[in-house]
Amino acid sequence: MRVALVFPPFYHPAMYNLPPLGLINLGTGLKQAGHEPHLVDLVLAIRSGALPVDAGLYRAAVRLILATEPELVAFSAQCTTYPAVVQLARQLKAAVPALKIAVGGHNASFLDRETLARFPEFDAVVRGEGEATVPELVAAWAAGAEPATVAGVTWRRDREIVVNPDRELLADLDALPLPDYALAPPLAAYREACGLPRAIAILEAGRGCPHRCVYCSESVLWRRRTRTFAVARVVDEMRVLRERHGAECFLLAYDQFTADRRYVEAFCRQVTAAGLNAVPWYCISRLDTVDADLLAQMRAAGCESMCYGIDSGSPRTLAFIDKRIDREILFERVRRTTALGMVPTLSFVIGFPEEERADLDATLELALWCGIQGNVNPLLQLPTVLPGTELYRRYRDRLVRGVDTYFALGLEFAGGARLPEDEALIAGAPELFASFYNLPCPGLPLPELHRLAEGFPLVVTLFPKSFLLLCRALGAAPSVLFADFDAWQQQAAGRGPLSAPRCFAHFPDFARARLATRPADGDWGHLAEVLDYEVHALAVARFAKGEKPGNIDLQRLDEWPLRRPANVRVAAFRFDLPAIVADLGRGVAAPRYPQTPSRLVFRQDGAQLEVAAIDAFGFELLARSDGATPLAGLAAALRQDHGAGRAPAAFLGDCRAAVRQLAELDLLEPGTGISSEEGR
Amino acid sequence: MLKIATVEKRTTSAAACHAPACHAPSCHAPACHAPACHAPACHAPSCHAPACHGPA
Repeated sequence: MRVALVFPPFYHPAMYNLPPLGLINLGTGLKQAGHEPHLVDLVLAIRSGALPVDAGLYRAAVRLILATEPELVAFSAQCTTYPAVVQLARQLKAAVPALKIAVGGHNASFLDRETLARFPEFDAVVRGEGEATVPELVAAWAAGAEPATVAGVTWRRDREIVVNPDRELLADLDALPLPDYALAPPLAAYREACGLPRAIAILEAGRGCPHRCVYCSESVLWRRRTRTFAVARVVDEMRVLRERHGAECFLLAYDQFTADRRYVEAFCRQVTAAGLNAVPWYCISRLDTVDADLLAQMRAAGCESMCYGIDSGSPRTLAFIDKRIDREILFERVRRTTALGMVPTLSFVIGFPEEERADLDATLELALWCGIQGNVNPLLQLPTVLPGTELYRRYRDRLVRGVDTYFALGLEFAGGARLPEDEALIAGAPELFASFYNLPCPGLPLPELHRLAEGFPLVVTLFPKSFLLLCRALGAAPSVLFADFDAWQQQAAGRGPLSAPRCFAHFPDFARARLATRPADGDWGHLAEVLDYEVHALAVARFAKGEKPGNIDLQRLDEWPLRRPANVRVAAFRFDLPAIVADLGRGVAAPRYPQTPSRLVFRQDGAQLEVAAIDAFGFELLARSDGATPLAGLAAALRQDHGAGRAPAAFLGDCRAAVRQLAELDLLEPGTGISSEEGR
Repeated sequence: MLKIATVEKRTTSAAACHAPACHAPSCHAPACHAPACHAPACHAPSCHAPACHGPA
C-alpha cells in the first residue's frame, strides 16, 4: 500500500524543525512490511519555500500530498497542528473520496472518539504507540478488510465508531529497527532550511515518565511506565547518524534520561569510547537525579545543555501540580551545571487556575534567584490544557480564549494571523482544540501573564541581581516591578514587547530612577553598584573573543606600550562587590553593607565571562594601560601611590613582574602600533 | 605578586531552548515556539553566539 506519512504544516519564525522521528519510525516498519511509505514533511516544505505561507497553504499542501499518489494518508498530529490536520483531511477526502485517512499523536489518542464523531473525513485514529499498530492497520486495509482486530485503533464502521482494545506497550524497544533516515530529507536540508549552525538529529533514549504532574499528557500516554533503549543501541544510532547522515548535534528525547544513574553513566562511557563525545547533545533532566559527579561525566561526554522542569516557586502551586522542588538542591544544581559550562533551560509555569498573585511572584522570584546562580535559559510559560491530563479533566469546562501560549503558535498562515477557517474550527470545538484556549487565573489577567511570560525571562537573564534587589529595596513584588518597568520601556522606546536590546538599554535608567525615590535611610546604597556590575558584565560580552590576545614578548617588555584587550574592562566600586555577589549566590539579599572599596576586572573569553577582584596596584596598572604608555611610563605614574619607599629600578621590576602576571591571564596585550605578528 | 581572585564565572552563550518541535514519540516538545527566547537564532542548542542576549 502507498502510504503518505504527513507531518502537518506549522511555521513560526522563532523556531526550527527537525526530521519527524515518529513518522520515520512508522515508515521504517511499513517499508519492512513491504509497503511504500512516503514522508511528506510540510514544515520543511514551508521552510524550504516549496509551500508558500498564505491563504492557499492547505490547497497547495494537498497537492504535495497527492503527488505521492497515496492510498492512505497518515498524519502525526500535535495539539498545535490539529486544526491543520482537520483542514487537510477535509480537502483530501473531497478530492479523493476513496482515500483512507488516519491520524495519530497525543491529541488524537486522547480524543479518538470525539475526533471521529465530529470529523467524518477521518477513517481511523491510531492511539498511543504506533510502531506495531500502523503496519497492522495498513495490512488490514491493504487486504480490503476492516481493522476490527487491530489493537490501539479507533475506527469507523459505517456510522458506528468502534474503539478497539488498547495495545500493550512494546515490551522491548530494542526490537524496533533503527530509524531508516533514507525516508527523510538529509539532516543538512533541515539545517539549511532553518538556518541552523548545526545539523541536529533526534535520538530516542527511552519513553515514558512515572510522575503525575497535572498538566502533562506525556506520562499519561505512556501509562506512567518507563522503558529505555539499550545504551549500546542508542550509541550505535548516534554513530550511524554521525557517520552516514552528518549529524552535528543530538537531542535526546526522553523525559527520564537521568532517572537511572547507571544508565547515564553507561551512556557517557560508551559515547566517549566510541569517540562521539565531541558531538554535542542536549537532554531533559531532573534536579533530583543528577549531582556534581554525574553532571561532570555528562559534560565530558558532550552534554551541552539540559532542561530542568522547575514549574513554580510557590509551595501551594507545587502541591497543586503534584510536584516537589527543593530550593537548595535547585540552586546547587544550577551552580554545578553552569560551572561546567552547560546552560540549563529552566522551565517555569505561571497562571494555574488556583494561583493568587503571591504564588506568581514566588515563581518570578525563584527564577531571579536561579539567574543569580549562573547563566540559565528561563522559560516562562502559561499553562496549556492538554487533552488526557488531569488539568483537562478538571478544567475543560472553564476554557477561555485569551492569549496564544506556545502550544497555540505556528498556524499563522494569513499574514501573521490564523486563517479564518482555522479560527472557526477552534472556536467551534474547545474540547478538541484546548491548547488554543486558556484558563483564567485569579492572580493576574491573561494579557499581563502573557507579557510576563514574554519579557520576564529577559530580566532574569540580563539583570537578575539588581532586579531582585530593587524589588526588595522598593518593597515591590516582582510582577509589580516588571509591569512598572514594562511601561517605562514602552514610554522610552515606543510601544512593543520587551526585547533584549530594550532591556539592556532601559533597565539601568529605570532602576536608578526608582532607586532615587527611596527615602535616604542609608539602606540599599550598594544596589546602584550591583547594577553597574551587571552592566559591565553585559557590556564586556559584546567584545567576546575567540582568539587569544596578541602575545607580549616578555623579553622586550620595556619597549612596548601596553593595553587592555577589548574584551577586558576594569571598574572600581565603593562597596565590597565580591562579598555582595557571594551573598547573593547564597541567597542573601542584605539591605546594607559597609563601604569597603573593591576593584574588579571583567573579562569575556568566547562564551565565558570571568569577573575577578584585583588589588589596587593591579587595578591601576590595568586602568592606565591605554595602548600608548610603555612600562617605564606606567611605573613612573604608579610609583607615588604604589611604590613609595621602593627604588625606581626596584619598582620598575615590580611593575614588570605584574605585567607578566597580567599578560599570562590575557588581561594585557601589546598596544597600538605593535602588530600581533611582531608581538608573537 | 598581584592579588587577583575570581568573583564569578558565567557562561554567556545563548542557551538551548527546551526541546524544539522534534516530534519524537517521547518528546513532549512544547517549546521553541518560545517567545521567551529572544536572542536571535538561539533556539538551537547549537547556537554559540556569545552573549547574544547582550547589547551587541
